[in-house]
Amino acid sequence: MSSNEPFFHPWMANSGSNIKQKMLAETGAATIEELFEQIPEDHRRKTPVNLPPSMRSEAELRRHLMSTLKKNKDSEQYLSFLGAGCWQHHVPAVVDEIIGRTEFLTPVWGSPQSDHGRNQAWFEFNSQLGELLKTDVVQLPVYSWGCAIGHAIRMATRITGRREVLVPHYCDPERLSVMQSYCEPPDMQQHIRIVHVAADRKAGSIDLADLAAKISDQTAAVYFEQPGYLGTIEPQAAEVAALARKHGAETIVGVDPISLGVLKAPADYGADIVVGPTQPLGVHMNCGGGVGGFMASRDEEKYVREYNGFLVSISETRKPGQFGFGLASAHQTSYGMREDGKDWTGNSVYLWAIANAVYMSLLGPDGFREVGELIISRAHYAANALGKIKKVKILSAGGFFKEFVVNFDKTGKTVAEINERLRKKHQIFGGKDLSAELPELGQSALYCVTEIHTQDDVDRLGEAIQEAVS
Amino acid sequence: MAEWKEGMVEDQTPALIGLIVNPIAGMGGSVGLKGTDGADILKKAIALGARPLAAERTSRTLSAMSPAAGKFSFIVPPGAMGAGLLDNSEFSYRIAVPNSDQLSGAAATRAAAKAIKCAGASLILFAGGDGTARDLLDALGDSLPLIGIPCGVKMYSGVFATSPETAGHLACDSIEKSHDTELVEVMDIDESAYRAGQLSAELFGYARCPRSANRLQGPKARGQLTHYSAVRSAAAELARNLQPGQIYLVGPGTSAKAILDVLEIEGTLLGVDALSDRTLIGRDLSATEVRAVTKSRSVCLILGVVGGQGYVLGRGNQQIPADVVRKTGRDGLIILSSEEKLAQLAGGKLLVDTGNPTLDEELEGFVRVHTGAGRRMIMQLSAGR
Amino acid sequence: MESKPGKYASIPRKTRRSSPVRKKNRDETRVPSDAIKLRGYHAPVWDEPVVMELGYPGRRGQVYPAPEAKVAKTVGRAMELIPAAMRRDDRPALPEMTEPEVQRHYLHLSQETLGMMGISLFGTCTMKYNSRLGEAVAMRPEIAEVHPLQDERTLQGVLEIIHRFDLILRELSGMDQFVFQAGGGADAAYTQCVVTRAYHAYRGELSQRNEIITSIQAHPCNAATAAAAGFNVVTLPLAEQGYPSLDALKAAVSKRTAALLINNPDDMGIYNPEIKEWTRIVHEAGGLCFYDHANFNGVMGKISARELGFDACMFMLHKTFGAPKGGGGPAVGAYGCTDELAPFLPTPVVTHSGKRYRLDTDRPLSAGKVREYWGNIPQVIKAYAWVRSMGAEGIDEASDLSVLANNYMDKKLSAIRGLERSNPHLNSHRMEMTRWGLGPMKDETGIGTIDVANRMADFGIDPYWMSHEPWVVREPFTPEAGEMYSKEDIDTWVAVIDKISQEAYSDPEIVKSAPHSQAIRQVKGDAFDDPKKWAMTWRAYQRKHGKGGDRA
Repeated sequence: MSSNEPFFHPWMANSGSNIKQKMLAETGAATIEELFEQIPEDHRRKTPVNLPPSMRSEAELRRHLMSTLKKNKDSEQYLSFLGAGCWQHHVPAVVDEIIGRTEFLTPVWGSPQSDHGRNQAWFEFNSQLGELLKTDVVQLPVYSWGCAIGHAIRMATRITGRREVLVPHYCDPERLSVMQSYCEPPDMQQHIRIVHVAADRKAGSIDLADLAAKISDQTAAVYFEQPGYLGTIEPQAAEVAALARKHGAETIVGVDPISLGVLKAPADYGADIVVGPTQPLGVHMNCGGGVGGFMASRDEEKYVREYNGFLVSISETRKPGQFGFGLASAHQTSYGMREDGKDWTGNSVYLWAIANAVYMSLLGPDGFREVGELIISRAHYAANALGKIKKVKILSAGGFFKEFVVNFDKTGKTVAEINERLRKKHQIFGGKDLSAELPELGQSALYCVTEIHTQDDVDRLGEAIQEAVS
Repeated sequence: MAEWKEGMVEDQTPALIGLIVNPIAGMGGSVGLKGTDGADILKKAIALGARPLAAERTSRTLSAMSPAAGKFSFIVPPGAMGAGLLDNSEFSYRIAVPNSDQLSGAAATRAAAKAIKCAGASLILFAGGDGTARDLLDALGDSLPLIGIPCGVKMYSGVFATSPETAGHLACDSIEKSHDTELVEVMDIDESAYRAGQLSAELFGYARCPRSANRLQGPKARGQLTHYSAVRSAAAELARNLQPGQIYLVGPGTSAKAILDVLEIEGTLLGVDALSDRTLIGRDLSATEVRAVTKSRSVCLILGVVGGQGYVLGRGNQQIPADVVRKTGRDGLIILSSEEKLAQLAGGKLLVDTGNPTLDEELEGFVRVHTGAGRRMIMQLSAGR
Repeated sequence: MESKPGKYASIPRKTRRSSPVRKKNRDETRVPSDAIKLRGYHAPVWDEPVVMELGYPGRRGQVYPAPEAKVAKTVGRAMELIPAAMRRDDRPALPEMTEPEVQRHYLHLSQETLGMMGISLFGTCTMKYNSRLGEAVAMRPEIAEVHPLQDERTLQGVLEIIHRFDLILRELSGMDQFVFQAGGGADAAYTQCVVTRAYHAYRGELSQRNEIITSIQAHPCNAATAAAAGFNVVTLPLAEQGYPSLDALKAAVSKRTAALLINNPDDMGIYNPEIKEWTRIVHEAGGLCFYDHANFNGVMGKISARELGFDACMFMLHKTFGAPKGGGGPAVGAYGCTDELAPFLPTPVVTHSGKRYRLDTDRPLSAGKVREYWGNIPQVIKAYAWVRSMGAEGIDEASDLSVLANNYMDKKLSAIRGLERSNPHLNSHRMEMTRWGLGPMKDETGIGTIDVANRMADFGIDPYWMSHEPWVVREPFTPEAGEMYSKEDIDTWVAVIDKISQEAYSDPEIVKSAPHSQAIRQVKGDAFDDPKKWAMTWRAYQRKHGKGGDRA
């Protein structure tokens, strides 16, 4: 099936040379074609593969890729205030160096000895995140925050034997869609019901009265986020968790880990299972491909046995005093509601876990405190600045972290129109347009401000919005 | 719950390993006899020039254990049943039953096993075949883990390691780390019938074996259950779907019994029990009782699979008569097993041997074996023999 | 994962497989392993402490400025902006290190990782060269600093590449539309399950069609994702010919059948020649057919999923298409399907309408999302770069070479003592990998597959993949040579296996206690399933084993 012209490629050592004939001679087959004897003739493709010609020259390929990608506008070129599940944070240069190391980048799995360093880095991800969350068990991350919520909900249904989960009214539609996919649809036996709990004010926190009305002995878990989808810091987290516990439900909290130098550790207000995004900890946005989701809990067997993925544990080796790492609780054993089955795991975002580990080591306790204070200060400064613009209103009533809701109803312009103006005239990506998903908020946008936005950037945004709305 | 949790062997310092050698094991096989059960056969074997195998096999096991010699001591019966093999060896040992040389054969094995257990051994290595395994089962039940050094003529039981060396390595592994244990079948065949050309293995009970689990290589995907977890999961689903008024005959073995465990009903491990409307209506039934209890009632059979061979009917559950099986038909067979056990069946098929060849042929076809909640494996059912 | 004692012993001796693998050829084809000089390898040993033990109070690796004066004046003290009940009043117990200390620590850890620096024939994972060009391009801000919610007019470059790559995968599979949202192969299988749900729900048949059929040799993720998506799973066993029988399939299908999830060839290198009949039978019963193309490398350019009757398929870009694996992701399971299933795909779908590329989210029948946003886009870029570099010729050559290399290796391995090939009664050439077993070696020496894997690393060779569970071959290992490794590499790899085999028969203890030349000695497994001992974080370790652990 090879063409007659020898085809050498710099990534294939045995291509295009007589070495193939030497190997073939060993196999006992006369031709390479003969090695495919298992595939019946009528299974073979009817037409040859039609693709653009091979671009073996790296110089040529690089030029092609970059000339195409240059058609993008990125958030270094433009000033971006987009967040909502994927945020622009500073990525320290050392992080990029470490995750670019071929030893970490290219393999899939080894033995606890051969890939000891990688396993240790994973354990250090667990250990450092465990300090931020104050949880003794941290699992290696799953695909995304939404997937982590999905798995956590399924853990809670297995632990409690109940099939209903309460979630806040304001829920990121991306995450909610993933959650729904993890909770089988109503016409299946294993359906998990998602019930929304009202918010007690616009862009606000959970309405405790509505929660009390909806929670029951059918509730497997209460899920809420800290801060919430619209940026609000939930002030009554401990009350929510207490109410859940009273009804025998699990409390699942989604937290933004970059806030944990200044926000209380979730274990301290009663979280049973903690989930959240890993992207803020040193991973580029990557068009959304930087996302990952962590899962953590107390070190109790009823939780540990229900995790879906990899739990890396420290252990001794044959040499006294030396440690190594391996997978704990890897086999499903006789425990809990296992007859209803665990979830699956596979490749995930384990390289990002190493990025997260490096990031946490670089920041340390003071770095987390500083970055948290900087973010919350600048976000509030931005809200303050935008709120001063005529006809522009800030819906978030204080107590938010890095995101807040800006309403443009009185300007007579849509968010889409304003964002287009910002983009075209000012090279600014305005906040996420909420008008379609949350019509009750009118023409509102979710703005995100982080440590990368200086006071000058925010002032520039203010002037641009001023121009765009007038 | 207690049944559900698989046993753990506690660390013991210093570890004490029992060793029992059946000196005549395997002698029949070497001269074309089908086993060495009974004094007459032994005489005949010796007359035919049979040579003892067990001592040589045990030496291979001991060689495999020599790197760990300092970490444990043996406790053994005297003479050819143990101590004789350890004289002048690097292993430390003590003798368990100084007076047992008065006994011989099966009685000696049983006495040695009991004494070794009393002395506090954490497991017993034994050299023999199915007959020896049965003797140990009689003496110990499932109270102590066993590792069989394979040297019998017949080795249908699940207690044997794949080689003498493997037996040694397993024993060493067991003392170095704590490990799970599991129950495995002790089988034996009727030697006289076998000599007459008929192979018919019987289930005699369940012995405990270490389940060496190496957790060092990461599974790329989880979802695999241990055998009992799998059948327990399947049984839990089955329990939710039991039909009112229907009679369920629960066959012998841990797999079938899982349904009783789920319902928290005390049944028998080796007998046939009857279940209706989630309550036990018959326990350890004979064929006559099975007929009586199922008379003019709709019947299903809940069965396990005999490891390695694949029998679901005709091994260990001969109490279920052919006429009752005919009534249930293939559709009335509810078989519980793990995928792992099914994947390792030597012939890749499930077998039935109801004693009625016509019925056996009628039962041939495909069945859905329950391998977990919401999990089925399609298996071919064939007439055994 | 080691085999149970007696697990195989209960099989009557006469039916047990011995080692029938062309023993008579042993001398003729014997690998001249003594002629191949194995390296005197030793891994770096840094004895690197856990990061939690490093540093000194007050040090740090990153400094952030205080808020600007005007910012501070406007908003006041930062902590006052947080509701009192939610303020953190303790310092998280993270290490306090300088930037170079952090850098050195993690570089040491990277050096204590063999990680494909040796020869990694890690079967079922198709180890490939991951070009540095792909990395260099993916680190550019045009990819790395792009937000997925940007206006699509500012995303035209990346959307163009995604669309072009979609067209390439369509050409290779015959499907009509691909999406890249799934974060790995298992997630693509899950995508198939949610698409199956949406498809049957739309036709009003979901409550009836609640069964997904797969085989015992398909990747366990097929069964696991089907179960997680709420389906019952019907598994087919392997028949004598090495793949499940048509009769078993016929017994499995019914009006309850929702879909078939299957790979072909399987991990033993066996191709199911009846697969067209399979898809016909499943379709007749009203089910969908999903082709798990995990083992695409050996059939790239040779077959088309659509032509074999499949409705959907999945490619792993981090395996077959040259994107790196990252030690387990970020990965991509590219999921493609026919026009009939396309309305049910997760959104967004990248489309090309006239002059512009779009993110189409207006798909009312969509099954919903399996992960946020559109996928691990840097990996898609790298996979696109791989295909463009290879071209159709290169892809054809790569599948030729991978099958050639495997058969070459098969021949060499068959001469080594203690090994047996899976399904020894099947004589035809295998595809791009073959499952082998060390059953005879285990019986004869006590050395099993985990011991051998541990020992391999002492020669600077990455441990192999053993097998998915359940193990249907005793003491299994599954090497896959692929197209990257040279003949010399394969010869070296085989020579290492031969060397370890010789050791197993002459000095088993050296294998049993391996490794000896690694960063650490053999890890003891006893803590991993013991709730009193396991410790998944440093804080748990300190709690269970005292401050500083047992090393103090």
